[in-house]
Amino acid sequence: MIYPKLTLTVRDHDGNEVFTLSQSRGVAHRETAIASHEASVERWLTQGLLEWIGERGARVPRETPPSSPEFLPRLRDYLLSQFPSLSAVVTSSFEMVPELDGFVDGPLTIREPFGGTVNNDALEVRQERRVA
Amino acid sequence: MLVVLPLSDDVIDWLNEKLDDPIVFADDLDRTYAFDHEFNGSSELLSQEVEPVRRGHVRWRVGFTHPDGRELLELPMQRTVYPELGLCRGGRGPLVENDSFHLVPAFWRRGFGSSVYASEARLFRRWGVREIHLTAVELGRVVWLKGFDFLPVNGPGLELEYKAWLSKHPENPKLPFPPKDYPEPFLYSLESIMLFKALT
Repeated sequence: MIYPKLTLTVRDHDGNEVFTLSQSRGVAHRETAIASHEASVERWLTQGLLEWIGERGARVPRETPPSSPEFLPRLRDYLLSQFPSLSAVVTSSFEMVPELDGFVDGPLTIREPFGGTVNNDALEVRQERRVA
Repeated sequence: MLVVLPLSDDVIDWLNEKLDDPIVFADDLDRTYAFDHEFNGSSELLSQEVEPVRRGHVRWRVGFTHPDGRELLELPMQRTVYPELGLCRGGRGPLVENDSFHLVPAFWRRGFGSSVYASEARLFRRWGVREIHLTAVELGRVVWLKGFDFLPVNGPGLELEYKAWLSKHPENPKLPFPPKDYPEPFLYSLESIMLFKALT
């Protein structure tokens, strides 16, 4: 089976990685996080993202659970609006999970730029070996 | 006693139903906004509403008038209570969003805002509200952090932003220091800052 996978990578002003989250099959999880952001990342992954949207006087809360496909793109937009020195990029890929029990080579990840057009020549194909 | 700012029955019912063991009185807004301050001539409840959809909310708007008849606020002050949202201190629970509080500049820095917030905090605690949330803009980017003990919703993110700002303004102090000690020019360099205050 092939599943879509999103990855959000956040870097600071100097280009150092702050944290990376990924989401596949409706589950978001932490790939990396520096110590100062561990609590924030944990809160996002358990509670989702809470924003206040709309004009003043008519604002409403918008909660995006970590299971939502909008979770990582909205977290990216939230961070960029609050902290303009950060860089935050969402990339999309496809994760291939073999259905056969005896198949040990997988999952297969094919990455492409999020929101962009698919360029087959630019696709990065990475195969990871799963320990049975 | 004449109740000038009465809570409507549907608002009282909603608060009693949605919040966890709140203590609610029909004259709660009277008690809250009739605080003693030289500017507080009178207050008026401009609207109150219950939004029943989904988990819903209660929202009200209040205006204040100086004893000499001048309006104290540029816009009506608005508060909205939500029964269950993600809390900054973890878990889920009731919170209030302070959507607007715009004092006319002639009344700045005379303690009126402090009186409003001190009085409201007592009310919100009695209702069982766990946190106050607001999005600080303009003067509020400094006032709420430095004068009212609010904290940034995303403290570590603000620290990273400060480090980036510090690279262009190296004469300023280096972290760590408490959020209320952020230099004013840094806070004013941000378009807005999401802040919260825990009540329990």
